[in-house]
Amino acid sequence: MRRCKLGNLYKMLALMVLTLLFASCASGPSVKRTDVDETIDLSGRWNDTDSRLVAEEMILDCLERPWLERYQTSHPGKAPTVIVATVKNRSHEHINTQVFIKNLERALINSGRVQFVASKDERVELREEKADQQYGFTSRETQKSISREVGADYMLQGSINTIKDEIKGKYVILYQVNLELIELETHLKKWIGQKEIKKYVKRSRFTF
Amino acid sequence: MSGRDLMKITIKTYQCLNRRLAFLVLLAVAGLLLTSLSGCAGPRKVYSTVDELNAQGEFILARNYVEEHAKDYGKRNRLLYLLDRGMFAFSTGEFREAIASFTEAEELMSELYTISLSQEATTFVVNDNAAPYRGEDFESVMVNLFLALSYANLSEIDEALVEARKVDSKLTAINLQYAENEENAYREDPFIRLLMGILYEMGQTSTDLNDAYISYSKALQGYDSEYQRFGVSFPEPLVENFLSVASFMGRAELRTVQQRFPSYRFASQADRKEMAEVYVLHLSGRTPIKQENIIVVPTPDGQVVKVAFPSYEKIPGRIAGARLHALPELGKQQFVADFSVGEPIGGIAIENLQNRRVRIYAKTLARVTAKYLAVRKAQREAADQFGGWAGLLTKVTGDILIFVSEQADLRSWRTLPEEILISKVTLPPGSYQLWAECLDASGRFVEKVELGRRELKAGDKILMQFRTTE
Repeated sequence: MRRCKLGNLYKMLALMVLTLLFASCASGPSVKRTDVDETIDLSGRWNDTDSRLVAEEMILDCLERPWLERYQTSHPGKAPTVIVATVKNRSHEHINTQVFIKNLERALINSGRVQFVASKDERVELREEKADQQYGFTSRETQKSISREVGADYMLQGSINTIKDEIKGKYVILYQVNLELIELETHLKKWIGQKEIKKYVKRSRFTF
Repeated sequence: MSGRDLMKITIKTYQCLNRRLAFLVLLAVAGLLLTSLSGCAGPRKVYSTVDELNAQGEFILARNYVEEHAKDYGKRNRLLYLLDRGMFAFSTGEFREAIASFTEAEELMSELYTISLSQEATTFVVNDNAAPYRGEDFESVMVNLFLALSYANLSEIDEALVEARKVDSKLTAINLQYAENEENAYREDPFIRLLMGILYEMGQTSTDLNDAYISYSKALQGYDSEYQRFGVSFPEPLVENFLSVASFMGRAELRTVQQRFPSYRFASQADRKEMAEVYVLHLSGRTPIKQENIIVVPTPDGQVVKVAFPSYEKIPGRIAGARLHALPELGKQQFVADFSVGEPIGGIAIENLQNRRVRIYAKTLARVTAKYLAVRKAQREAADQFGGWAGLLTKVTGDILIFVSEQADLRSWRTLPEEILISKVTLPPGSYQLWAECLDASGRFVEKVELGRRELKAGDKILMQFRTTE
């Protein structure tokens, strides 16, 4: 009788067991807290970092331009009142423009050089609250009057545009963010800002 | 580990154990392989019910069934699960759900662009079902089409336009894959261009109208150059809209389009703003499904091996056309418009497979030959070492494995319609009852589909759809 080589049988059984183990193993998600300012690019799409950096840079540019100085000269001691209106998404991606608008508002407020009024939707809610205060449930001393809203001097409007050049597996995308500051009284454009971000995204064709 | 390696180990085991035990081990190995191969069949089991519910138009039940049997699709067919789920959610008007499924499907398609070499290698050993389903090019574009339609149904036109721009970019990328003189390739989709033009027009700004002009222009070129081979001419709304947008663009643009359609009447942009436009899509029938074609090929030693290829089989439908009706609440004049075929999905699917036929044949034959040679070698080795009985056992087991493992890849997005038809009706502002009458090939009435009551304002552009699977 030939010598038994049971090693082969063990090998085969071990392989089967390992295969089953690998197949049944499912690891849970790993979570790591990161700084909100940390840049993390995963998909190459427009992300929170793009939104924040573009907003900060553009508002910085906006506040350094002559329109502000001219306003302050003609209105001594008064900060211009700005309203952030719509930022239209004209890109290839579903971008939550509200995040960008909030970044713009934050950068504007933090500059301390302008004041700005609540948005159209926010005003509706505020007016409902003020109307509710008039029903007699709110003490007269704390009641807010209904005709003391501050009208905006300028409106900030904009759009996010993209140009995408794509072939299978890779693309170059240019994000162009345009912002315009328009004087409400005259409809004159007082500032036009533009910021561009270009990304090259490549997906490898093969992996092991 | 390949089947051949397992066979070798089994033969060696045979050497060290008694024959009865070795035979049992061999059977166990074969059983294990057969079990794993049955998983390669993909969602065939799920589809018997899904197809039935789809044919009956029971989209809610179908969606619930798909969700309950998500795991039965298998990991490799996650994309098919998402596409089916999205399609049924869309058909039942659950557009948020449809968006969630189609968005995930689009991301998965993008991820699957990266091919796993280890998984791909198994397709040369087992069969093509061993690789994850990545979707065809036209299916990838259809995902964006249904995303755009879902957003449009939710009146989120900006989001629908994002999908329009993605389609534009995707089609350009697809187009670049083919040489200019390469025929019968899915390189352009004029119907989707037409729909994107309609969506751009909903944007109303001059930039949007410019984009609409480009989309209509590409749609017309596509119908001329690409879709004639499917027997599809440009749908009526395309010419009407193209002329109107061209008149907005300028005299030169209008002259160019009018040279092609000299006597065609159209409304200017200003006139169109006084009226409401209702576009209705009819998602008709069920797209062809893949069937397995088996060829038995004789081998040099007088035996035969099975070779399996996929081919499409059309699903005959009773409904061949439809007519759109709009009845105003005030007034008796009924508005009627015909549907015309815009997107021959079934034709595109069949042609797509035809284009890949040579590649599929070559790969299948190479794989079957390799398996055959491996089994014969193992048979000789077993016979030399352990005698004729072991050789015969190896041959029989190997042949069974070849027979069972050779399965054609029958996967496709089979819940798509056979074709999409489009109709447009222009109405004065007011309240309307809308419905469609479906007709058979002889123009006889088959069924009425209620589209509900709509309040239409001047300048409204509304996109709706209904689905029939009969």
